[in-house]
Amino acid sequence: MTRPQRPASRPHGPAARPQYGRSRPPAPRRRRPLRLGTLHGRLRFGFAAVCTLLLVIGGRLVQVQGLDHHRYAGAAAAQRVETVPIHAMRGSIVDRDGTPLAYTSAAQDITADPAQIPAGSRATYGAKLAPLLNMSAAAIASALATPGQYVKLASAVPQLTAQKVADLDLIGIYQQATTERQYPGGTTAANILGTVHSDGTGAAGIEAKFNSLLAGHDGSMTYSIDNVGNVNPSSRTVTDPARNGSTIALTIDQSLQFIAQQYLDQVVPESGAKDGEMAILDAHTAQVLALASSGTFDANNPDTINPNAPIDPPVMSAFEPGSVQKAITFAAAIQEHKITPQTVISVPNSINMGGVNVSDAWWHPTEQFTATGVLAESSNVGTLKIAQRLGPTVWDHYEQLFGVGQKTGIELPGESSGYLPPMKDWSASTFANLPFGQGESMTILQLASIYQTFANNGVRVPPRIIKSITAADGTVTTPKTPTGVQVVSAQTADTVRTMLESVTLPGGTGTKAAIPGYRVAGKTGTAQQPDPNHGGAYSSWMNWDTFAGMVPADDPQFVVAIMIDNPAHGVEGGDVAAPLFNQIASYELQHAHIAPTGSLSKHVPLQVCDAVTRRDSPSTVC
Amino acid sequence: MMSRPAPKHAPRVPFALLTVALIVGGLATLLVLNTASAANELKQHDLTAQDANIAAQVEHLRNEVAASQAPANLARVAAQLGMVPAGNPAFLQIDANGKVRVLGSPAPASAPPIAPPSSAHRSTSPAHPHGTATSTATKTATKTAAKTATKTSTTTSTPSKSASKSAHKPAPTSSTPTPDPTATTMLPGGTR
Repeated sequence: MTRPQRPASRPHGPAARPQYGRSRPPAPRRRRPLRLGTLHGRLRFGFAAVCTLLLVIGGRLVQVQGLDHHRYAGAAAAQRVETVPIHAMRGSIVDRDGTPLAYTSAAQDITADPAQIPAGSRATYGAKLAPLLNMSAAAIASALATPGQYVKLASAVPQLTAQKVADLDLIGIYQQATTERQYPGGTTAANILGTVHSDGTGAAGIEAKFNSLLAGHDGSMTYSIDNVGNVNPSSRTVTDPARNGSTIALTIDQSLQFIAQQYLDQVVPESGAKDGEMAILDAHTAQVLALASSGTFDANNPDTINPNAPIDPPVMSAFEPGSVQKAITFAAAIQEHKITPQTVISVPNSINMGGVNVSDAWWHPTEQFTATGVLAESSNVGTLKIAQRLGPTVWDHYEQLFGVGQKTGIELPGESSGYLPPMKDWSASTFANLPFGQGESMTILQLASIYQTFANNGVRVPPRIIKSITAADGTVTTPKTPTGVQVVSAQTADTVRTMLESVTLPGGTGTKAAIPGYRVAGKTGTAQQPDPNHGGAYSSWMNWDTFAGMVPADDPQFVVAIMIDNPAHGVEGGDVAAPLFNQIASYELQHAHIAPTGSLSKHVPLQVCDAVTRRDSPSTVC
Repeated sequence: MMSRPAPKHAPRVPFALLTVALIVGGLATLLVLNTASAANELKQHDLTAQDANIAAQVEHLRNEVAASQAPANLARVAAQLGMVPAGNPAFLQIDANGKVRVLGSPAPASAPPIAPPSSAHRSTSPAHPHGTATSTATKTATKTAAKTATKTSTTTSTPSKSASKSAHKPAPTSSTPTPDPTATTMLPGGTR
């Protein structure tokens, strides 16, 4: 628009100038035949040198731009882009009510650069830091004397303390963000939770078994920086958010777990025993309410772990159950219509079976016991006579159904399957031991699972300890309750419970388990231990004392199994484990608000009485 | 072409002034923005520090709460307060025909409390007639239960997971509400 007017307004513009390009005729050129120039002398070498140089430069160009492209682009990016990891927070482990059993909190490592701290101020530094870091001033001073530029003074100091350290404004003292795994309960449930390595990964228990779920995924943040490392304010930051670990809710009841451990820690030294274990299951869902052993380590302090013992004995160590497993023999015999609670059995003091003599734990003349009496007074001879009516094959079939010798599949690492000798390996005398629980082994959890079958009307539900898993985004996964196995009929289970009740009534072996006002069904056990000092022969003084039972007998709410390993000589299951059952069951009845059912115990005589016995025995016996 | 008017020069001073004003204004704005940015930077720094401080306090409190609600700690504090584990409670069961049956045997908690109860309190808990199903027995039981604030429960048709789990609570108060007379009341078992 303006261009055409220009010449008018600007007479001295280019339009007015002489147009050399057009007006001057081209300069005449002398045409010569085209031929290559020849190089002479030094020029030749110069040309060669330039060509070589160009080749080298060209080759390098191809190398840098074409072949090694990524390396240099990457190195350039590394200079102006920084990527820092965002650490995922490890998930918590909570009990069935959501109370934290294990969680991770932020903390600081306190480090120092000894090169920045003059030798003369080390003592001052020590004096200032000592009360905050819980260390001696001398230890800090000597740490500061370490040659080099880095020394870690304290690991995982709580944030508040770290802040106080920062407020001291000490030159050469630095902090590094870290995390700390907290176990507020200390020893409570430590055998189940396990613990973590110093790098925060699971080392045992739930922490190890569910490590990947708990750990989550680390994220990262990428941004551009200037030459001194400051963030370019307007640059784009790429953030890959960290995905925090899931929260795992256990079926454990923290209070019950604590009380169980407390009682075990009390009873074990009192009875002079080696250790003790306990498992408490919900009667119907078979959820594990407590899984305790004596002398559990403190999860906050892995140094307290005994390296010579299993970390979680209730699932890892198996023992011979003894009489407590007679219940299986009785349940099988009732289910197979071989006996009723009233069936009278003539029980001598000993019996020869498979070439061995088996006698009862106490001397008695041949007596006329009822089947209930055989169980209540825990007669080995009577039990063997009932087992004979069943036969080994049927007996073995029921052991399998009750899960003896098989893992329960609980979500804990290192579960022992226990041991039930396969029938093909049986010797002539094997069946003279097994029916009363010698020659086979099980964990305390398996024992509880057997009694859960009776409590749950004959349906054995494999015990589980994971209640739910909540992902970081809030989605809750509830593991499916495993399908139960109908081992015996509801009728049989009810009958067995009635018989087990007579164990805790006067005349039975487990009267110390009885809880006033409630109907208690359970069974004592005193199994002989193989003595390693006598070639593994059964010792006459080393015992596993057991008790397994449920309350209330006519509507069981929970099942408790207890094992006390090798209490002082002469102490039987009815003397150690039964009172412990009484204590823990009394607690749980109140804790879980379980009222007595108010029904009356069914009276089944324990033996056929003559006049004298009738006069001298408790009313429940005859 | 030649009749073009003589060039009229625009006054230069206002232009110069405008330019200078723009430059000065621009610089001033820049200064203000920079200052504000720096001030915000400082404020952010302070707030970040404050945030970290508060986060540390929250963390600290969270740790304290978790540690104090651990059962081991509760048990220790309860023992310091003189509390003892409650013994087995006893229950009264009223049958359909009005007969009352005592389930369990009421007894004081066996472990001795660190702070002994006052004798006045003791006198408010008369001995219970065991097994006698008279209306007086029930009434006495009810009254006593109200006074001692132990948990009430029933074994009759109304399923009550009942009342408070107050077995561990300290001394009873007179302001305890009167329990439902139709409910069977537990005898005082634990809290003395």
